[in-house]
Amino acid sequence: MELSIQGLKEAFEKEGYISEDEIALTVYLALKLEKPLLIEGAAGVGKTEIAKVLSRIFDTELIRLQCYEGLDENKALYEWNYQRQLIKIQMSKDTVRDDELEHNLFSREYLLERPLLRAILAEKRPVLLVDEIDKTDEEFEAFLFELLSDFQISIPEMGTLSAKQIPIVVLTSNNERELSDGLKRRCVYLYIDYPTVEKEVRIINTRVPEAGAILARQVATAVNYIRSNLEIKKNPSIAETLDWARALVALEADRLSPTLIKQTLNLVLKHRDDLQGFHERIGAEGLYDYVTTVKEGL
Amino acid sequence: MTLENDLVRFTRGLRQLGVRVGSGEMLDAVEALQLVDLADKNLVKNALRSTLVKDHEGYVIFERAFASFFAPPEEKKAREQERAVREQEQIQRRRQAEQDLPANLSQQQKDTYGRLPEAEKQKLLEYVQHSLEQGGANPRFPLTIESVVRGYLNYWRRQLTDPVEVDFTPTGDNELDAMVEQVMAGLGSVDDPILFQDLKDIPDKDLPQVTALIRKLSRRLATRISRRYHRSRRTRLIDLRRSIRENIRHGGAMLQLRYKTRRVQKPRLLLICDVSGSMARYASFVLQFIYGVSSVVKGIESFIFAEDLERVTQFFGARRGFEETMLDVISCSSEWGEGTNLAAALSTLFRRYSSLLTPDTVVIVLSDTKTMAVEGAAERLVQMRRSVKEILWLNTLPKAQWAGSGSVAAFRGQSEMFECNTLAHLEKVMRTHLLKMA
Repeated sequence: MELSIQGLKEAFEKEGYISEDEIALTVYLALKLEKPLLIEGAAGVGKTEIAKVLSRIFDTELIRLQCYEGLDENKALYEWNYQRQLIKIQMSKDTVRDDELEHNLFSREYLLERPLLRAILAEKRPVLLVDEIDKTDEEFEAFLFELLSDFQISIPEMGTLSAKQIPIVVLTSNNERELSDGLKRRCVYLYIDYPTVEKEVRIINTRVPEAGAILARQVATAVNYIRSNLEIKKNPSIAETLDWARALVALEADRLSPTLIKQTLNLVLKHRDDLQGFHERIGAEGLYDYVTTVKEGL
Repeated sequence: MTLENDLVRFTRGLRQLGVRVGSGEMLDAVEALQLVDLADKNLVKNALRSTLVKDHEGYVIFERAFASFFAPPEEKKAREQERAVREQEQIQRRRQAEQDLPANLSQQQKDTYGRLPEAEKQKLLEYVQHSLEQGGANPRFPLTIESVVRGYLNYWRRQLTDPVEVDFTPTGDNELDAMVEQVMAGLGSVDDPILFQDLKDIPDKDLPQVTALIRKLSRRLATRISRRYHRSRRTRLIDLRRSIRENIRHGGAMLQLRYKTRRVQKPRLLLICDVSGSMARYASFVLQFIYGVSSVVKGIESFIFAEDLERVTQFFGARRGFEETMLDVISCSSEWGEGTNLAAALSTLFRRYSSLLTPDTVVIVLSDTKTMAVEGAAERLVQMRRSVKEILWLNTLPKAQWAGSGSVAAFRGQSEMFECNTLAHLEKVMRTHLLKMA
């Protein structure tokens, strides 16, 4: 597709991702400048979804590297299939010459490709999602930004492998620790905050159209209130808002009521202390009054 | 050319404001600008922000800097004129101070003198005049007056809050300096005020907000600390013993290799908080801090000290409300509001709790360093430094006063000391040291 900011925004919406101009522009710049896109923001605001949507828009493979503490090159890049090599040695020790055997053993046949290598060797430009990069340690981060600057890797036994196409790289971070300047420098940066009421209404309308206008607005207003006014351990994510809306639709509700809020609140607040805090601070009746009296809720 | 020139100047301004922008990022910004419609201010802003700013905190600064730098020419001109007038006034104030006061004053002290209320100015002048007449024969006397005048002006400097007074090194580019000045002045007053307010001055009504912020910070610390994992070394070592045992079933062929792993130890945190008389104004903060950290980080040991040391871990271990915990701590402790003897407190720590001081321990001291027996305390700190991983000192004394404090000088050598009298300071220490260390 011919890349343009407006075109990208429309493609995102077609895939069910409501994006503001800022998101569309930043993604557009990352694609045009062929730079990794680093997305930060609280959990559940739709960071990972951007990579998924991009793979659908460009009809290409999504290669995902889920980060965790202790992740190393063997899990992220490649590993030799040691067992298979060993069996091959056992099977051919009397039939094949030593140097030929060694040459065969270190070929792609015996290479276990992990996500980063797969992204480099892919025939069609893939989307590489490096999810929750803040969970890895700094050593791995340094290794990663070297790879992201050259898009080539050296395997001692095979030589240097360069990317056939520069992958579309999306890195996400929940901001649990500060990322190194080196990594940030190589990326185009996007921060995604929780959506406004307006945006969340549009998200609900797109993803749960059966909710109807009134319920969608009331749910979005209620979730927005919870996020902005209650000091809770875990803010509801967009996915939880959608789950709540779906649950209310399943209960055949077309608008909120104090009883419905009480019955279904555990879909949005999933911590005992948060539920307790909610009942102490505002309660189901209070939240109902709020969503029905604020201008947007009418 | 004008665009590139503007971009270089704008980037320079951002750097002055503390946003880290490298030349690579600036080149990205130039490329990004070629891809957007330059007539659309919003697109230009977003393109610059995505390429120049790489953290959320920088967003606020960028927004204001952009609005200020790319303001209409008339507005910029008016701002520069205002700045020129202010500079002129400042020069006059400084000259006036030099004429009126026979003392060697810093530029800031001279500025403060110029901004004193008229009655206070008269009072000061009368005092100086009177003192000079009285003690004229004593050669040391002018020095005494000088230090009184300085102290007086320092006091008033803290009292008089000038929204325009900001501390930065001018670049010499008037337009740029006016922009930096405007953004800095705005940030100090509009950003979350509690974050930048001295903790002793935060009114009781805002304490819940402080608790929430401390808990949020502590939670980040806890998530970081509570992750434990076994990590293989980069060059992995085969664990022969385990590999042989594992592969007996394959007739001795080494099909499954086992590697030696290194266990990453959680640091053990030990909090020592000063609750003596001089720290009374920070008492709420101290308690909030221990409560906040203890409620999210398991296994933390906490102590309070004044004339001696007292262990308070048991009060914070139970999952109870803040008020209840506080009542218990205050009613069971005899240390509150006493004088300070850090040396005695540390001796008690060595005598009774030496098992807590291990090479994994990170000691966090929260104190203004004001104590009796400074030398003794410094010796104990040296001793402690040998047994523990690190000592971090969160000092509530403003950094400007550190130079004149003997105790700060004595303790700084043995610990990493950070100014910590606002939540912003605490946030910074947590982010830059505690989280990385953990």
